[in-house]
Formats: sequence, C-alpha cells, structure tokens
Amino acid sequence: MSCNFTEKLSPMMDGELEREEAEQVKLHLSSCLICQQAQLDFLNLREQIKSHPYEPDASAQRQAIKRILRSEQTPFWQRKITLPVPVFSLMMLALFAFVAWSVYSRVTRPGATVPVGNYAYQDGLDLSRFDKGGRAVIYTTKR
Amino acid sequence: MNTRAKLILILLALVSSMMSGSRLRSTKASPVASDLKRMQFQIATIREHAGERTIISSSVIEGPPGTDFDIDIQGERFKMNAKFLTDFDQSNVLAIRAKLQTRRLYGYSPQGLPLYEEDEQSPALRLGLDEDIILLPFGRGSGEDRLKIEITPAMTEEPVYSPSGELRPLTINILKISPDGIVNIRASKIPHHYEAEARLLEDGREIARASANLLFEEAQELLLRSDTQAIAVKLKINEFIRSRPSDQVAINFDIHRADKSGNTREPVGLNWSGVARLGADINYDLSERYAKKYELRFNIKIAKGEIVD
Repeated sequence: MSCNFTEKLSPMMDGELEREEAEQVKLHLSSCLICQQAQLDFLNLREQIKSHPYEPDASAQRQAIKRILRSEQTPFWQRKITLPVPVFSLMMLALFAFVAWSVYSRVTRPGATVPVGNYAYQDGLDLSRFDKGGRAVIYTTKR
Repeated sequence: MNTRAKLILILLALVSSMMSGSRLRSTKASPVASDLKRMQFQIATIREHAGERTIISSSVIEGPPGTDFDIDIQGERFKMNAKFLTDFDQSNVLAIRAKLQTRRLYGYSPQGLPLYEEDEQSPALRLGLDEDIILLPFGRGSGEDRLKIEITPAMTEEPVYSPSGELRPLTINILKISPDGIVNIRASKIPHHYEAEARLLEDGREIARASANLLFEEAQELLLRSDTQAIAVKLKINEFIRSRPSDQVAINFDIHRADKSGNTREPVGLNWSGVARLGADINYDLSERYAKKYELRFNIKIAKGEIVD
C-alpha cells in the first residue's frame, strides 16, 4: 500500500517544505497510518546513521588540507616585492657603482696588461686560431 | 806558291779563325753559364686541422740559381717577415740563409699604449733537392689547428739564359691567392758573391793590401800588414743597389789596429759604412787616428761566375 504524501515526509522532516505545504502534510499524517509508519522508518534510519561510529583517514585529511592551502598560496614567481622608490633608486645606484669600479680596477691595475684574447680577423682567414703564442720554427724534411 | 806566300796564308788563316771564334762566342753568357738551369721554389701555405690539410695559398717562383725570396704574413695583430737568401753550389746542395722576424700584439699598457712581442732568428739551412723547408710561423703548437708553409725547391729544364744570351726574367706564378692578401711573396735576384780588395795608403803610397771573397750579408776579415803596423778590417756588404750605368753596394766595416801577428786588437773605427760603386774605389781617411796621412781604400767587384742581370 502506498500514499501520495509519503514522498513529502522526508523533505518535511528536513524542513525543506513551505510552511503551508508542511501543515498539509502534518494534517494528513495525523490520519494516515501508512505515512505514520513511513515517518517512523525515516526516524529509525536517521538514528542508525547517527549512531554509526566514524573514524576519518588521517593521511587523506592532511593531503586534503595541503591541497586547500596550496591552492590559496601565490607561486614564487608571481610574488611581488614592494619597495619605496628612494630605496630602489639607491640600490640601483649602488649596483651600477660596483660594476663600474670592478671594471675600472681591472683595466688600471698597476703593471697590468690586457692580454689580447681570441680575436677574429675581419673576413677570410682567422690567424688567431693558430696563434697560441709560440715561436716561429723552421726546419728541413725529406720529401 | 812559294814558301813565303804559304806562311802568310797560314798566318792569315790562323788570325781569321781566332777572330771568327771570338765572334761565335756568346757576348752575354759563357759556355759554362749557358748550361745552367733555372730553379723553382713552390711555396704553399697550408692549414692543418684534425688531420686534414687545406691549401690557403700557393705560388711558384722561377729564376736562376741564387734567387732570393721573401714571405710575408700580415694579420691584424700578427706580422711575420721571412727572408730567404739562396745559393746553389756545384755539389747540388742548396744553402739557405733565412731571417725570420715576427711581431705580435701582446696587449696594452696601463697608459693604453700597445705592447708588442718581437722575435728574430737567423738560421742557416743546407738541403738537397729531395728535401723541403717547413716554416711554422706560430710554432709547432699543441692545438688541432696549425699554419704551415712548405717550400719545395726543384731544378727546371729551362736554361738560365735565352738563346739570344739574355738572362731570362724571374717569374712568380700565383696559383692560389690567400684570403684578404694575408700571405705575400716577393722574389729577387741579386749577386751574392763579391771580390773585395782593401789597400792601406800612407801619404798616398800603398803600404799594405789584402783581398777576400765576400758573401752577401756575411762579414769577412781582411788583414792589412805593412812593415810598421797591421790593421784588421771586418767588411760586410749589406745591400746591393741596382743603379745604372754601374751598380752599387752598401758596405759596413770595423777597423782594429793589430800587432804584427794579427792579435791584440785595438778599435780604430767601429760600424763605419758607405755606398761604393762596383769596380770603383771608395776611400776612408784615417788621418785623425794616426800622426801621418793614412787612407783605407776599398774596391769591390762582382765575383767571376756570378749570374748578373
């Protein structure tokens, strides 16, 4: 045996029906044995679910938390540093001065010479590829 | 015909044969010189890289024995001049006096001035016609890349003199030009062998004489001994100057006073020089160094058998 109001019992017990509709279901419930039995069944089931022991998986929980936190963090390359303009200007000036000083000290060190490194002739034969600083050599050889 | 007429005829025949013989003989070349053949030098600049050889430039010089040549390498920061004085003697041996000069840009001074590394070598080589001369401008090197100049001498079948008796001109055939003209070749033929005579005059009167054979750019000592003294003259011919009507030579010499045995040298004049016309006298006054009027007189000629243009 079934009743048309049975399917409205669960939403009514969860508070999901409109007030007028809920009053209608309650009025019907007072006189319908089938719906009363269904309501008892729903309540029993709820109690069983509540009383069932639940133990959460700790590692799964931690991983879930990490995923949540990670999604909220900004990647390193997208982070921004904010500096006041005078501080930033001073830093750039200091960097430029350091580079200039290091180049100047290399060039003007007393007694230092700037050895000619690899050099390329303009076009054609590049003599530098042969020149390792050796002394010219001449000798005879049998053909 | 009587005997007298016969004798006159024989005499005339002899005279005419002598005169015709002299006309038949070449006016430019002696019979011995006409047998001389031209020499050839093949000069190849080669790049050796990872076992492979690539010819960068190639030239052939052809001329009479005694042809000299220069090889120049000119790069942006490296320069080499290699001069070769060649002499070919009767025993088929090629005597070469080489002079190598290199100049390499090393760097810059603290004042920004360029600093160069220079080297000079003067090796003497003797080789047969079955040998080559190898010149490594940058040394033997330890890397894979090496520049090498190979000089291959050979005798040709072409005579030094043309049928008309003229000396055949020297030729340089460039078979492959080096990129950007980095390698340059020059050749020339100048006399290498000379006969030098030195005389010492006292108040215009000859009191000592000495002579010697001189090789171009090689110093030779002449010892002039008189009754009272002896002087040693070390003479060198530095340069041959082609000039008409008569060629000239630049000379350089030192004079030392010696005892009668030729020892105990005392310098009288060092590093004196001059330009002398071949076959003409050139005088040097030594009066300042002696109480009497003394003169040193040189006369330099090209040695017999030397090939002259």
